[in-house]
Amino acid sequence: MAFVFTVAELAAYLSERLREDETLLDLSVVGEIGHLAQPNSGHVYFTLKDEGAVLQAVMWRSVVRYLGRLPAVGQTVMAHGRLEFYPPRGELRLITDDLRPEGGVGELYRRFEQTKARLQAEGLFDTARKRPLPPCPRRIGLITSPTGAAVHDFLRVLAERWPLADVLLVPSLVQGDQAPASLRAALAALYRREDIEVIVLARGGGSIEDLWAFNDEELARFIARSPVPVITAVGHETDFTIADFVADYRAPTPTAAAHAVVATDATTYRQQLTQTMIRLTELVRSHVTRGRLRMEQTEAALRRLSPRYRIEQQRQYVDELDRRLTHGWQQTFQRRRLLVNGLEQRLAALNPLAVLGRGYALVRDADGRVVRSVAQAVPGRRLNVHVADGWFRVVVSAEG
Amino acid sequence: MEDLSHLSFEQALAELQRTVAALEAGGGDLEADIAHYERGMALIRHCHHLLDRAELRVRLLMPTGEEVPLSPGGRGISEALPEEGAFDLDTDRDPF
Repeated sequence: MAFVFTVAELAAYLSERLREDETLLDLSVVGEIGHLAQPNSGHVYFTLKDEGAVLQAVMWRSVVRYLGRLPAVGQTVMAHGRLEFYPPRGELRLITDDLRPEGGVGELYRRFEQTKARLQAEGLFDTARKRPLPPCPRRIGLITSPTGAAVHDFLRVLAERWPLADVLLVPSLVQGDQAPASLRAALAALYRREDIEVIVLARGGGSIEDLWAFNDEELARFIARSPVPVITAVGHETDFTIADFVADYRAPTPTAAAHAVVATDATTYRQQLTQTMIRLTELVRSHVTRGRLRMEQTEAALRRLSPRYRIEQQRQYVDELDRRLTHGWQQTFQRRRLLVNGLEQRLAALNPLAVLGRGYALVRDADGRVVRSVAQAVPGRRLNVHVADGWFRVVVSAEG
Repeated sequence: MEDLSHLSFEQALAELQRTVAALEAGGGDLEADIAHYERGMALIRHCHHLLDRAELRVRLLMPTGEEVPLSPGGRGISEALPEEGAFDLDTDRDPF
């Protein structure tokens, strides 16, 4: 049994099914503009067609604003958006959020490479041309869309990093056919001023077509003529535009530009100031210490010159002499005592009487002469015999 | 103590650097050194004060050349913007 719908039910069912299909929510369609109308509402209604089919499409006023120029009937375009069922008219239509002349991305790349090669050959990208960024610029010129995310990202980060800066925001178109001229006019407004120290050219992420304005050759040449350093921050990290090549500094994103535009942020300055404070205190303390040391040295020198000091010195000298004298005497005394002891021992060893202890005897005649020969021992003669513990008298009885 | 309020951050910082260098070089008499020290400390306080009190100033440059100050930090840009289309620049008039 087939389903029975009311028309409204079917419309709701169709809408539901369309929303479930991810392909239909994010698609690009290439076709020729069939007809196109822009009523007072500002919305643009058009059709896309080719040999076999027609598709209704609508572009809301908010999107139309960013489109440089409306396409002409008969022009082949690529429209991006989502497919929607519109019940009041029973139509499927493409809610378009982007519309590009179809010439294709390939054509864009070809032109990009040509422009790049030409400007490079002229030396506009030379590293030698790049100027250093001012360390902490006071006035910063910011060229960007006043309604995009880039301006908020940039200002939020800059307010944290360097709140002493003064930003002059120059609103500009940043996409579409009129964007290059708008960007140049904004640059010119800043070039005329004396107070701007650095210019930031920013735009948030987008497709290659969205960023195309920044590949404009005239814009590049104009950036090259800037009297102050120019920072570009276009799209995401991976996007490189001609403007990036010619700028003095290329920041990968608007947030990164807010980092690049001030080399040292407030937090770092605060730390440096605290360190400087410590350094100053140390320096002065060391100077005071050195001063005190000098004073003490001078005081000591002065004291050396005073009479009291000299008397004291003399007294000490006398004491010293006294000490040396006493010491010297003691040494001499000791040395002599040792000498005497030694001599005494040596003398004892040489004492001829010492042998008497071993049982020898010494014989002398009455006159005290030592008897060395039997010739002196005439019988009857009285002799004195000395032994260890004394002496006695003997009479020689006969010859031996 | 001399009033430093007229000094910009950059001026104060530059003078601070000179003051520290003078102290580092030494050789001055103690009184001069202490004067340098006090000046340096005052400059540091001034720099801190400037950083503490600072709020990012943002002005919007109108096509007429008029500058419209925005709230600190650049809040309220959309409110400050004139009618839609005011920045749709006349591309036929090349500014150069």
